[in-house]
Amino acid sequence: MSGQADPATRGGQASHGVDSTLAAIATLTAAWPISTLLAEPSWLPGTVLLLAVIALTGIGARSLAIRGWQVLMAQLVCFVLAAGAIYGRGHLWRGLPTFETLGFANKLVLEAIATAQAYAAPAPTTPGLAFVVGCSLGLVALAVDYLAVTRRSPSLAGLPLLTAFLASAANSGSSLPVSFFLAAAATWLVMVARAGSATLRRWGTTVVVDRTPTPQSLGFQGVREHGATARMLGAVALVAAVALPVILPQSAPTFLASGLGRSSEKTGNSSGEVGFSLSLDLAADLENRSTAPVLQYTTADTSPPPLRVAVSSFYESNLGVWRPRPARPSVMSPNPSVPQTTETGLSFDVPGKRFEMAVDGNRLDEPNLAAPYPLTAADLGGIVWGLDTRTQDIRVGQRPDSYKASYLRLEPTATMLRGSPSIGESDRDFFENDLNLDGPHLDKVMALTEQLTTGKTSAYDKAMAIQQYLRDTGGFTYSLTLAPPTKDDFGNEAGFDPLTNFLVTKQGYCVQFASAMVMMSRTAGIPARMAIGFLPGTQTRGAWSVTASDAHAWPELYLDGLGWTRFEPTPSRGAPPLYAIPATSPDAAVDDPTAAATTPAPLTTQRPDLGDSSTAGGTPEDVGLTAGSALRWLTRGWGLVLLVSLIALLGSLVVPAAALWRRRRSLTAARTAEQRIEVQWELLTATLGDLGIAPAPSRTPRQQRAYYDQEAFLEGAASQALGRVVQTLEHSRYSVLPRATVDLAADTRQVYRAASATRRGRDRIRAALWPSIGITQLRSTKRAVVRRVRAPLQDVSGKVLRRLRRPPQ
Amino acid sequence: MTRIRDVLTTRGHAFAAAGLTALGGGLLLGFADITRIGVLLAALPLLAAMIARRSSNNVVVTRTVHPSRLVVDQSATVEIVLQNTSDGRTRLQLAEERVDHPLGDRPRFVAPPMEPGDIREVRYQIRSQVRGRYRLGPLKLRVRDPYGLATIATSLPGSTDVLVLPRIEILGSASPRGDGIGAEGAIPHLIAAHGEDDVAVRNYHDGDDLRRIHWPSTAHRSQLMVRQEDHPAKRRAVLILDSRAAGHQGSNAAGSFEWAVTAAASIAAHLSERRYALHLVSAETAAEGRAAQTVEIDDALASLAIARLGGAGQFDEVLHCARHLTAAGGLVIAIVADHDEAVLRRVAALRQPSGSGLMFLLDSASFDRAGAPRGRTLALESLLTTAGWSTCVVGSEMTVAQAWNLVSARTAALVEAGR
Repeated sequence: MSGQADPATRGGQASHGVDSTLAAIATLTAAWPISTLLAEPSWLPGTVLLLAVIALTGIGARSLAIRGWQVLMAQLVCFVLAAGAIYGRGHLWRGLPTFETLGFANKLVLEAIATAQAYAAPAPTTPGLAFVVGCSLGLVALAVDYLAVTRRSPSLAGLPLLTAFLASAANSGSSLPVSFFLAAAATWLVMVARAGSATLRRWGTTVVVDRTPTPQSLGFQGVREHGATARMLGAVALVAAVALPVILPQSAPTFLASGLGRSSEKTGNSSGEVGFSLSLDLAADLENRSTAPVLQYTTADTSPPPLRVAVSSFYESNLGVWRPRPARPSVMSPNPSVPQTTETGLSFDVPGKRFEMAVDGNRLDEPNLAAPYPLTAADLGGIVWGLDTRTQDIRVGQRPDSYKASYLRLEPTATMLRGSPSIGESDRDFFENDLNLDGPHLDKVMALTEQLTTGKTSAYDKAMAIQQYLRDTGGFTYSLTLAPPTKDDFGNEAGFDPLTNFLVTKQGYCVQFASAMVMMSRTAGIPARMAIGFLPGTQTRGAWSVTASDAHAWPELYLDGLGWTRFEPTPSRGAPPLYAIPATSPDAAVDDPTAAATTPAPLTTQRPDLGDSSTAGGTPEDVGLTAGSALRWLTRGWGLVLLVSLIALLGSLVVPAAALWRRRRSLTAARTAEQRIEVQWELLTATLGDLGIAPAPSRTPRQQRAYYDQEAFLEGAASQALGRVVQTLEHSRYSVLPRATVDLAADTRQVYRAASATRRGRDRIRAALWPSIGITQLRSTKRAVVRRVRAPLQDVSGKVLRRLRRPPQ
Repeated sequence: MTRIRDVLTTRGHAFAAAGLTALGGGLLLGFADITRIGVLLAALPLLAAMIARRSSNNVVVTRTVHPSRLVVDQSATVEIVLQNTSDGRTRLQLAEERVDHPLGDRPRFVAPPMEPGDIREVRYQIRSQVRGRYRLGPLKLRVRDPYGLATIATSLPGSTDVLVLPRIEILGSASPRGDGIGAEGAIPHLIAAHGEDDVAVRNYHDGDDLRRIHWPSTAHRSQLMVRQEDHPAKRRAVLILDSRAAGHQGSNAAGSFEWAVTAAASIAAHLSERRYALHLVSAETAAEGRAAQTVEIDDALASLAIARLGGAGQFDEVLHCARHLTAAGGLVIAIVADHDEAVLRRVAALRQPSGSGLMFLLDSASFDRAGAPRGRTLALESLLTTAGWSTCVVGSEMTVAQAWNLVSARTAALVEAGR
């Protein structure tokens, strides 16, 4: 007895096994985007192992026929044990977790938090991060397995899956590649559809037997059909999900939660503020089409400088990211004193003009503030703020809606520029961070710098040479997408760091250009750091407007006597300051700085340069409602709309065309006059059936006439026409007397028109666009095609099988 | 055509709501991933609803039950034949046959897609432990998409009744005295006043009534022919069933009313076997006006199958009908509950001095809670015995056969005593 398992139960267990595996796979696919957040895939083996443990425990526990929550408990226990074995090695007691393990786990979590805060994505996969990712996914997998398999409602399991998926989506800032979404959604749909099929299997308490056309048991034909419908539905929905967001107007990403590389204080919130991540993430947000302004300002300056938000001196050469340090102002007060020249290294005797800038409608979230450099004074309307004495990095306690800032536009003379010597040995300690050349990847940078700066004595000349190289002579291309990793001669990845890769492939955007200039300047002995902020924006009717797509990065080099000086190595993006324009430059900016400064226009794409690091939010009224964006959306979608309508038009004509074809063919196929009459009668009843007057084949022609007269409200000429048709039919069917050939086409047409006039418009359109004859024709065509395709295939397969079965000679 | 909103299931509504929210949120916040999820969630129920709405349902269903009359605990096979009469293919449907609760679980099956003209056949078994008239059908069909987001339920009209007859106990050979011809206290025969029983034609003999001449035969044979009518004589029995809700106690199959119905059915079958002309006087036959006619056993069982408890007024009607029938004498069998002495006196008065009366007095309290017959029941018994009824007090543990044997013996004793 016990040896014979009930086949139904056994089948149930097998399908449970499949369901459990699917649940684990779904969790894994939902977590796939995490690979974009972590640099190395070393988190994967542990996670996969954990998920496998959960799935297997689930299969085992469910086969014991215990309650749902007991299964969950068993899974939880095994999960904890497995997690201990995977991540807590060395901190276990005979393989069991102890308090010490707990302490170690705590340490790992703290490590993970530290990594997440310090790095922008992709972060290095430290053991801590791997632990946190593995355990979170394990918990998600537990929830998914419990909901989808134990509780048999995979649709609910969508929630934990969604959590896992969105955790990565929200952290990566830009939208993820479609493949991530497709994989996760498809797996989930398969789970839901399988549950539907299982319901179907469980539904029947008795079996349907087929009587016609052939007596046979129908078994699981229904389930197969179900599966086909599920695939079709799912595929259409997935295609829609991928295609629709492309044509829908979309605002720029706004961050609601803190994440990797973005500490909570810097994230925006839903009130429409703009979070400005200090991390210089290299991933570009290619879908930021927002035209919502980040801030607007007015100034008398015809060529305002970029607005700086943060500076950073710390570069992770192997990841190609700048690690920003939050500003550490010495004093926070409503009216702090702005450190003047000496601290910033600016001599008083440098000529410059003082300008004032009145910012309005500021959406940049605290603690950051966009301000020009060098700042001389600022009025934030009583809001507490402070600034770093060395970097002039500003930190505000609260986002000011409007503020005023005074700044200097330096106009140093050539002597001053050329006269600034390289910094002395004594200053090197002071500029230690800004001269730091860490990492083993600087060979290329050093070689290039050596080559560019030979013979140049002053720091300014060296800087100009580097800038010139990056802007003009180096042959670099501005592109939001980075070139793939360089391959060596054997096709293997050369293993370059991002900066070297940029210098080799000569393709990148402002971050790469600025990083290159900073590192090359440092190699040449000039202290340099990275500045992040916004380009001056576009001027309309006297007011400057800065949008998220104006985000920018540029290098600041320390020149003795001038202090931190801005350079502009990025071609076609922003204008260099006057002093950084070579005398013989063909750049139009020499003659008309204003025009140059206000022409990020050639970029046309309106896309953000800094990708993730700049984010503009949208209050509801901002979303695609500005005239410009709406128009752009229309024009952009126009071609697509036209194409779709064309396809729809052609598609809607398929069935009527098939109907026409069948009509013609059946008429020509009829040999005798009697057959012709029968065909015409059949066509007439079919078309009347399309209009909603069901055919009544069991009636005599005369009864049919009365029936149609009544149902179609035929009167007068139409009724007489029907009478003629019926009479002809009767005569051809039952009379032995020969009769002159009559063409019924005109009469049938008249009857059809009269009948159609009594119908609703909707029915008429349906009858015209979806005639049953057309459907029949299409079906028979399909069958014929399938037959024709299948026959040769079966021939071939039959031959192959025979060949295989034939015993070897 | 149904609106999409009405087609969606709760899950479908949830998907649509979540999808639209995610879509709006994704567009506002600028997350293409959320927008995609929103479109997916919103598109699925929409597509599912569109597919579900497209389904046409021109399926004709016919049911046959074999056998069509059941006795309690007997099982029968129901065959459902589905035919697609539309000119389109039907979709996969979940079918559920509505059957009355006592017949067991509702049979469910997956109705596979059918091409035009296809015929499918489904069988299932029914079985009831409770007598009654039960309904099979209508068949409910449900089109459901694979994701469970939209569903359209249709009900195929048409239903079949199935009759579950009360159980019949074999009562053995014992029969009430007065059965035989010529015995004292013989049960008078029912004389058919008119009718066409056994019509034969024979030659005219002297003395035949001229009114009996059969003219067509006479013309045919050219000699006088007369109709000879044999009046079949049948012993009459009047079976009275008490259905007062106030009198009967106990629940369902174990209740005193079910005992009464079973007894009535068994006695009816027993008497019918002995060729009695039977009058069943119950609340149902009295209401339908059939009490005055003799009933065949099948009809008797059919009306007993649907017997229900009623009010005291209905029993008044029963007694009223019975009075007319018993006035002519004959065997009177009453199955009554020990309730309301006044009513019992009226029952007692039904017996004609010449006829014999069998009384099954139900000790209804024992059906609710087993125990010895209460004093009141015994008092009533003596009242009835005094009135000339051979009476048996029936407790819950007694079978019909036992009670019948007891009563038959009492009849004999009574007859002996009378002699």
